Amino acid sequence: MMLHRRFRLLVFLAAAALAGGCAAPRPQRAPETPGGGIPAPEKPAAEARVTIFVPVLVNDEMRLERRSVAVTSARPGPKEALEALLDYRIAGQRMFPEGARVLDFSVDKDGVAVVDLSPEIQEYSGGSMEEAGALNALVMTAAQYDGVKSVRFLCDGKEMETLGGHADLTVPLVPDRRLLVEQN
Amino acid sequence: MLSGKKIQPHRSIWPVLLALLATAGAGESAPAARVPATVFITGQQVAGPTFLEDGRVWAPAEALARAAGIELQPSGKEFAVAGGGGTIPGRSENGVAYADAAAFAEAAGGVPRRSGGRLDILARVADVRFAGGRLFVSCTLPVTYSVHRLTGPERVYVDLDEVILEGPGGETRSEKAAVRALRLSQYAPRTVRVAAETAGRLPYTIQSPPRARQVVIALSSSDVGPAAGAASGPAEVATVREGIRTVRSVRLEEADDGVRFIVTADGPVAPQEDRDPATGQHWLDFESALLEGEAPEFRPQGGLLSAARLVQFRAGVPRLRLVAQTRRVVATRVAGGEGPNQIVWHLSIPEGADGDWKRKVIILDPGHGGRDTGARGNGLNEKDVNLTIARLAAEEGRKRGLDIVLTRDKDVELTLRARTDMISRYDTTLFVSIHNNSNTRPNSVSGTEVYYHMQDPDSRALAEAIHDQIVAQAGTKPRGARSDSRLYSTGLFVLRNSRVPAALVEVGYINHSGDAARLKDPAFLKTVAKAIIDGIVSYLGGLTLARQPAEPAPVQDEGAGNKQ
Ligand SMILES: [Zn+2]
Repeated sequence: MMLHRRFRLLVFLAAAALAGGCAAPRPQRAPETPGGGIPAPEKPAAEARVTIFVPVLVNDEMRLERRSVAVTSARPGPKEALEALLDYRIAGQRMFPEGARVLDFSVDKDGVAVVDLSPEIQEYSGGSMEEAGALNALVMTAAQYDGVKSVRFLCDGKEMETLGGHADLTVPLVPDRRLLVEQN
Repeated sequence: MLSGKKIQPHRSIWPVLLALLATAGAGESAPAARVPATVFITGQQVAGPTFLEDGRVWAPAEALARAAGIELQPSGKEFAVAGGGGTIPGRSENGVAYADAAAFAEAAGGVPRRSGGRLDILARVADVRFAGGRLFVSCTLPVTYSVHRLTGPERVYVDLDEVILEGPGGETRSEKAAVRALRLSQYAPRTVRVAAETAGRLPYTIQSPPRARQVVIALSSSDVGPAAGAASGPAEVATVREGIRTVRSVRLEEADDGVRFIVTADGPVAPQEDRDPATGQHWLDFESALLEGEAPEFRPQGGLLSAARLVQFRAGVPRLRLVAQTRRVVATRVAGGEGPNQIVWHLSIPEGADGDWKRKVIILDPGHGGRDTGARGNGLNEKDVNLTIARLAAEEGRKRGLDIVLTRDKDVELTLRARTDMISRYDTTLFVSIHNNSNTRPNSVSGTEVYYHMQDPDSRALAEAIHDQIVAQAGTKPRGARSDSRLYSTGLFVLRNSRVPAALVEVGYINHSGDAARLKDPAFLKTVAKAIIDGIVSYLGGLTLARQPAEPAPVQDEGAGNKQ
């Protein structure tokens, strides 16, 4: 819902800019990058932002917190949001292996989002709490899109047994809203 | 179809064979009329072979019970639902027990809806009430739900998926309570909406798992006392009623394999279960409940309980605690009794713990291996630490007379499926996976967690027993025996796919410098290994509980912790 509003705002800004005689709308400069606050000047200027959910610790328990991050795509969708999460760093460390991408994203009629990840994802390693943070972040990020009730992960089109050796990815994962730091 | 004869098909006979197969298939399927079917319980597909035959949809009984979160009791060829009505036709094929899925739905209080080869089992709403600052919505089956907020007037609503109302719905109003009105309606053909109109904007917190039989939403700040909100009404009846239940009677029944407390109230009650690892006490807390008459005296005669009592919290606070002091590790569960106003609290000797505890087959599973290092940090790879602990535990276990099987005894990669497949290769009693943890931030969290699958009482007893021994003997920070549903709604792979009671031990955090230093100490690892075996042995009944106060400890006011 928020994304739609954001998109409408962008359209409005674009229309206003054109009416004012500019050749093209100047994209808003993003104050934050997926890198965690360090500007990356070598990258092309951000054109839009996406909402992702990232793991945080509250009272020594894993929770998820909303973050808005800049992406280079003009009309970012679930694929771009998930890739922004795949590139996200916590305390300078990547959560997911370098090069891991989303090959495909689709939602079936039962509301199962299918996220096909590139083979680099197999390089993932982590303890059960770390893995749960990473997977729940992916699930919650995917679940903000219309019609997504659960999320199934594939690797290069094939079934994934697990990510880090604890989770069961042979069944779709349901977003657990108890994990959200802010629920309202 | 080709059984009995071994044919080595030559290329040229393929067309003939295919034609034979085609006719054989057609000839066989016509009289049997078996077609594949799918069964969904409130939107979640039931695993395993499900099929339509003789006008009935059949599904593996175990998968049905698991998806519905209820217990199925076999009686001859049929099944019965614990606390439910009617019998369910059953059949057995290749060693798998199948149940009539539609009959199962009816017995479990669900509503079967069939369309062609798809059977959907919908839930009914059993009870809606607001008490102690929390909104409780109980359904007959586990459901998925979403919570939303609307303004003008301020209200929070819960949409329950795959649920139907049988009546027209209704409304409950109360001007004094934090929740002014509760409304129940069939919002969409398969969505029931429970709307709570609040007196001003209240923060809400979801306190139930993503898939739950009882949805619990806290609707006020925690300082609101249990008796603050008092608007409640049974589902589909628009009446204002006190939110406080009266417990009419509590009865203790003892049998060889366990005891049970039968609690009868004037309406549905949903007690919270908890325990104290130090004393071996288990208890049930009934929020917003008062006792009618005198507290009953329990005089346990069997060997399982040493004492039990029912206590009221300090005067004026409507909260009851039923405390049981056990002599050994027990599996506990709360089940429905006769009618909606009764619950039964079972405390029993856990699965596999009967008879001689020695020579039981215990599978120890050192997590990860090979390319999969598991958690990394402070110069440690989880896979190596896990293997060291598992080897030491195997040695200790064998010395004590247990039959220990290791899923791996060297640094090799094993799929999770290969690990749980080993369970059926032996006469396995228990499966214990050994891991060490990590978090997204180094040096943040430390301590021991032991996971069990969902709400499985036997696995929970095993996880509690191992957890308690590790923290007592190795002195690690207790982070509790935890349901794996706290990590994922479907749980952890090896626990979900274990057919015997199973636990997954997370000894410590590899990326915490304090835990890591201890994990490098051979003496610490040896203590942990011994503690894991002691946990297993105490589950099996080979160790009595260390501390046993003669009298249950007094109940403190704030002592009602929420167990997840
Ligand atoms: Zn692990």
